Amino acid sequence: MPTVTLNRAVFEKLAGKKLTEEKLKDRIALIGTDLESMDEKEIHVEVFPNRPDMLSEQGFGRAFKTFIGAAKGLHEFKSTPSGYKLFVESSLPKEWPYAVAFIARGLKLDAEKVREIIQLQEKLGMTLTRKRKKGGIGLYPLEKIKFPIRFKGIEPKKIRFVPLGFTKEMNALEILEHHPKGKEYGHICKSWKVFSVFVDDNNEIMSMPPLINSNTVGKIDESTTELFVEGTGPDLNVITYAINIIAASLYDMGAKIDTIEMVYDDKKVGKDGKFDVPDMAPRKMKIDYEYINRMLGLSLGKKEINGFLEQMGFGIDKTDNAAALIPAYRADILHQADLMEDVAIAYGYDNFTSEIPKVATIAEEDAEDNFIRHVSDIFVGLGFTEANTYHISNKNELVNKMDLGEKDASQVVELANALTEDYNAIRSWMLPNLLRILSENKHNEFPQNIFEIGLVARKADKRKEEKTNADTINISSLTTEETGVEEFKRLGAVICHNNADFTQAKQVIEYLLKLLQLPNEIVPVGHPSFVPGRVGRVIVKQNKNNKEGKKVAFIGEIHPKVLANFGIETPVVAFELNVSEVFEMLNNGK
Amino acid sequence: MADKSNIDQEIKAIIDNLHPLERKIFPLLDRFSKLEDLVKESKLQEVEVLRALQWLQNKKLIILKQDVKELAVLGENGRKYKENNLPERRFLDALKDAKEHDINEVIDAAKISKEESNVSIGILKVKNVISVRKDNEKNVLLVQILDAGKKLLKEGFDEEKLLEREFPFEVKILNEEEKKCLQYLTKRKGLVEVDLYKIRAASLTDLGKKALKAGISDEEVVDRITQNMLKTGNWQEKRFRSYDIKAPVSRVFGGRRHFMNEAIDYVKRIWLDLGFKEMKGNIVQPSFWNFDALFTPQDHPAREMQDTFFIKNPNLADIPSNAASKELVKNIKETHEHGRDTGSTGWRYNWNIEEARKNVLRTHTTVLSAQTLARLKESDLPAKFFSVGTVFRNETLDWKHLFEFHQTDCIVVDPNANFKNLLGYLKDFFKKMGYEKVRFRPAYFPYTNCSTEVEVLHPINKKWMELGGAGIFRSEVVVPLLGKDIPVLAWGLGLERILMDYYEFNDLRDIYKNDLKLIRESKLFLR
Repeated sequence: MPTVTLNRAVFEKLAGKKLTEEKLKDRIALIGTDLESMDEKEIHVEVFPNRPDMLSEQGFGRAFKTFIGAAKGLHEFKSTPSGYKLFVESSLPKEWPYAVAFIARGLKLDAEKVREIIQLQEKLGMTLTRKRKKGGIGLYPLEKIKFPIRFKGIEPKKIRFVPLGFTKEMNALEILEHHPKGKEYGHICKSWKVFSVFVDDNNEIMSMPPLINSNTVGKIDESTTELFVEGTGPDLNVITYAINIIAASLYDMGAKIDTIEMVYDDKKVGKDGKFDVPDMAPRKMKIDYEYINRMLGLSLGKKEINGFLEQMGFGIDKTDNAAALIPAYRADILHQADLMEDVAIAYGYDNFTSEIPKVATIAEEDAEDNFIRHVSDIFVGLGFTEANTYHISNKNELVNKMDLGEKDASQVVELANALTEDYNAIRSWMLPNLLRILSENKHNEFPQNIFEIGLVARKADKRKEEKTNADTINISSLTTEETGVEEFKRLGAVICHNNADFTQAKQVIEYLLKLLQLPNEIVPVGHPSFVPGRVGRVIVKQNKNNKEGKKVAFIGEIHPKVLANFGIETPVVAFELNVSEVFEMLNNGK
Repeated sequence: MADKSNIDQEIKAIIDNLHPLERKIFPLLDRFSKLEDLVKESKLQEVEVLRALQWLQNKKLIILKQDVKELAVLGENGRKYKENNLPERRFLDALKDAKEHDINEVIDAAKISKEESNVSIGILKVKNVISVRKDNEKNVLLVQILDAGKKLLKEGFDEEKLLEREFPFEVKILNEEEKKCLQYLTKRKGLVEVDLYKIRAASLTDLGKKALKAGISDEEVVDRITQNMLKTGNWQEKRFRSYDIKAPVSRVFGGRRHFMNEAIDYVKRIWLDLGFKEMKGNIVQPSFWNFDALFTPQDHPAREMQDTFFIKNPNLADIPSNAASKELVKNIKETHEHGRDTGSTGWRYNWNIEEARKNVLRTHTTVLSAQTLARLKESDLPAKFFSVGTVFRNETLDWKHLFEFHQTDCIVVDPNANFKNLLGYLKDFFKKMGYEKVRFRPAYFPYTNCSTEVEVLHPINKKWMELGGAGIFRSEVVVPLLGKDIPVLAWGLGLERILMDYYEFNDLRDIYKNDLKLIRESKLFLR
């Protein structure tokens, strides 16, 4: 979430009413922003990403003014046509086809105002236009530009100008390579066949959105009084909001706004390709009073609801008195529910009573979870300590340290963007984490008998060839089918002390399976993590018809080589049981 | 008098408390004090006697002392020479006629070995009591006693005098000259050795003397109650020894659940008590379920590499995977793009199936809520669901960040549900978690309206702690999944901060450190 620094004096003047320190803090929190800190000069607030219009002193002050009752309804905004045109050509890159622009005159800029404007431009860039991926915003001193202006596509090699902060003329490719902004944002446009540029009537290249302005005509400072402001990008909707937000802020800063006529030669937008910017006419939305009351659990009258909306800066349509007028800078009103939310904020979250409805619903614990809790209790009864480890582990520990081979390695689900080698894969079985615990607890008392029941993931052997064609969605089976990752619950248990041996592990697993009434046998098997001849597979034979039985667990003495890999100096016997499988068998047996 | 009877009481209590081993040893202490004597006399093992002495000392009946003594001990040759005289004495004896003798004759006469003769000649020469000369013609050594030798024979050797003592004896009883002599003897093979001995001895304290005087009855006291006693009933003739129940005992530890799981069980209990059904699901999820189904636009920062863990292989999910999900994918695409039939404008962008296919580690358990809605039928309403599960964020591990942690998510799907109910459920939950004061601040999440951050007042430090987010699911979420716009209250709360507070951890990582001592000894999760 973006944090903005507000000049407190400017903000308080805009808010129109001076509040006590306490009240100010309280109101800032309850309008829906996070107050980070506040002193005599500055207020630092986090603005939620749905309110980019509050990223400046002017925007914040405007919202606050009505919220605290110093004003109500739609905020004033006026503009006059400049008579200028901006031609938007079809030669533009298809990735960057839109532009909107306007003029702000009569600004008395000083260092503070320049800071405010630049902060707004930057914060909008970070949020609304997603680090320039969804649009770029440019500011220019008007006096250096000759209208009409063209926004068009040119081959990168043919684009030559002096970029901001440089003294030497460069072509577009050189800018991508050498200019800091080119390096930072070049990834957005480097694959385009043509790049987008603003060119004025003197054929001067003004800028190359979304990267950089020209040093000659695209640099504002404290002497600037008249601004040309443009927004460009792949999404007309987004850049329109950005431009509206800037226009509203400059207007509140004291500027006079002049509109520019956009002329799109392919006529894909506006009326015949033409429209004036900024268009600050509010959007209309019907107010569903019944819906708002029902969702909030209130019984407010129309007038009250209208009043709350006006408190949040909305206008009320005078003609039918049942439509909200949404300011052109509010990008967050998608649905009736967003009006409802603003009514709730104006009503005050702290003014709602809370109540639990008397609705009878039947509680139900997940059956597998319930089963797992019983199994955990059995292990606690046997004196085991329960561990809780991360699902994210690493391939080295899951495979190499356990002396496993390629086949097991290939089943490990790895992360694409792991931050460290230590945490780069999802655990494929439980024992490696438990051995790590033993290696980290050598100073603690023995015996160290530990267990953990948790989720492990493996690449599914093969995605199901046949898709289910059922017309209902069964998510539980679908997720694995969709992701290609199988997940099971596994129980890992280790017994570690100087006299640990196979018998003790066998006693424990036989006791568990006895309680579950699952007849079983242990057959010898080879497994590289265990001592040869001291490792077996536990096979459960649920009924006589199933002669094969199901392999539900490995059990054995951990190989000294594996212990050495973990730096463990005490013998360990262990087993790992597929809890999901056992649970399924018990359920099928019912 | 009162004092005396108090002391008597005290002594009686002490005597009653005596362990059978103590009862055997204690009466011996007025006659014996050394450990070895006590062992001999009591016929117990040395460790048993030591244990009894230790206990008696704990009861302040005796004081145990330990001395280190230097003892001179006779070796094998020492014993032989003590009986048959030292070889040098015998050598000199064979010369007592004052004539010059062939050395071989002397050896024969003295009945000593060649080696002993060499030693003897060495010693006697040093003492200057014989003369030795070589007869070159006959090629033999000739020896003769001197006057000093005769005198020595009469007076006796210092070494002999030392050997005459009763061994072993303490070195410290010797005078300086005798000590020198002893040292000299220790250098000779197998004669005398000086060993260090630890000698433990007990001496009675005043209290001990009084207790002994009071007398230990011979009556048999019972230490352990045995099966045999109970079977035969002969315990009736016996007296039970009193135990020192204040004596410290060694610690034991039992089996123990991990405290996080104890807390999870408690949280589950709360939701179950409130009539919620449990939701479960996978940790690897398609972005479609984790984000798109929850109306999170595809360019949302949460979907970037630095926030979410993506899966390397299989990196893409198979979506849509069947006819029903094909319909759902279409509905969600249209809802994102223009709102479809939800009454929303949508996000107004081109929704891309490829973005939705990316497999991720779920970033919130809200993904399970979305899947539950997709499964729910209208006839199941009203319905309430909860989940407790692990969620993942691409964070570097440090004291206040984990890359995986626990969330509890709930949804209430009820045509009559409203915002006030949402606040009600949350307040009730936190009250049961030990937080009386809860406040709600406006917030923003892409998938809820009336979004709120839930904060609780810490009962001790009086600071507000942010513990989760809540709201009413947007129509853009509900309509495509459920097929109808019905109020769905939703919340997702983090558990680790509550745990950190409860267990007074300063570092989040302590929760998953799996230090066995910490797990075994942590207080129970009781609220």
